[in-house]
Amino acid sequence: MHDTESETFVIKSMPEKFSEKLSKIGIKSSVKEIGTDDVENDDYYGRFFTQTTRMVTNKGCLGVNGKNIDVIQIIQKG
Amino acid sequence: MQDPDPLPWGAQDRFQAHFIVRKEVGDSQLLDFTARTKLQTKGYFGSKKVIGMKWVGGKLAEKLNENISLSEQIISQSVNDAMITIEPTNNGVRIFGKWKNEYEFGITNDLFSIYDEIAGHIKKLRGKQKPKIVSKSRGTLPKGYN
Repeated sequence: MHDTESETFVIKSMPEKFSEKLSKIGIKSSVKEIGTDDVENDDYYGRFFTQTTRMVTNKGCLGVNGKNIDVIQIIQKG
Repeated sequence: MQDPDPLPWGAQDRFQAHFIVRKEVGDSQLLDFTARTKLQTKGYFGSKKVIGMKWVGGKLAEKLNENISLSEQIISQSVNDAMITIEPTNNGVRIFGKWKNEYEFGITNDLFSIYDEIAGHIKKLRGKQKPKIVSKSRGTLPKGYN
C-alpha cells in the first residue's frame, strides 16, 4: 500500500507560510525579499525585559496592507 | 511534536512573529512604549486558563489598561497567546508573543485583531517630539531683504 502523501512538494520560506496563514483569516500581506527591510538590519529586541533571547535568526519579513501593523518579521531562535 | 533529543547547537524549532509599527521613539520615551501583560491564571498545566490580566509598563500600558474590550479579548486567549510583549527598538515598536514550534506557529483572527488594536494605540501615543526651532535673531526681516 502506497503512502497517500505526494512525492513532490514546493519549498516555501517561513514568511511565505505565514502569509498563507494570514490570507486564510482574510489579511492581505506581501512577502519581502530577505534582508531588504530596515527592520532586519538592527536589533530585534529592545532588551528592556530580562531573559531576552540573545541568539536569533532572521527568517524574513511581510508587509501588511491597510492595517495598523506595518510589517511582520519572522524570527527563529538560535 | 518537539524533538525529544534536540541538538545543543544551531537554530531551534522555535519561531516568533514580530508585529512592527514603524514609529520613531525618542530616547527619553523608550520606557513609555514598553509594556507586557501580567496574567492572572487558574488551574495547572493543560487546564491552565487566563481569568484576568493587566498591562504593566509605561504610558502605553496605562492606555491599554483603559481599553476594557481589549482586555476581555486577551483573557479569552490561551495562556501562551495572552502573554504579549511590546518593546521599542531603533526601527519601530514591536509586538510579539511567546516562542512557538513550527507546528503551533500561526495566527488566528482574534489574535491578529488584538495585535492590530495594540498597534493602533501605539500609533496614537505621542512619539518623538520635534525640537522647537528657536530663531536666534530677534524679529523677522522684511520680505525681499536678502
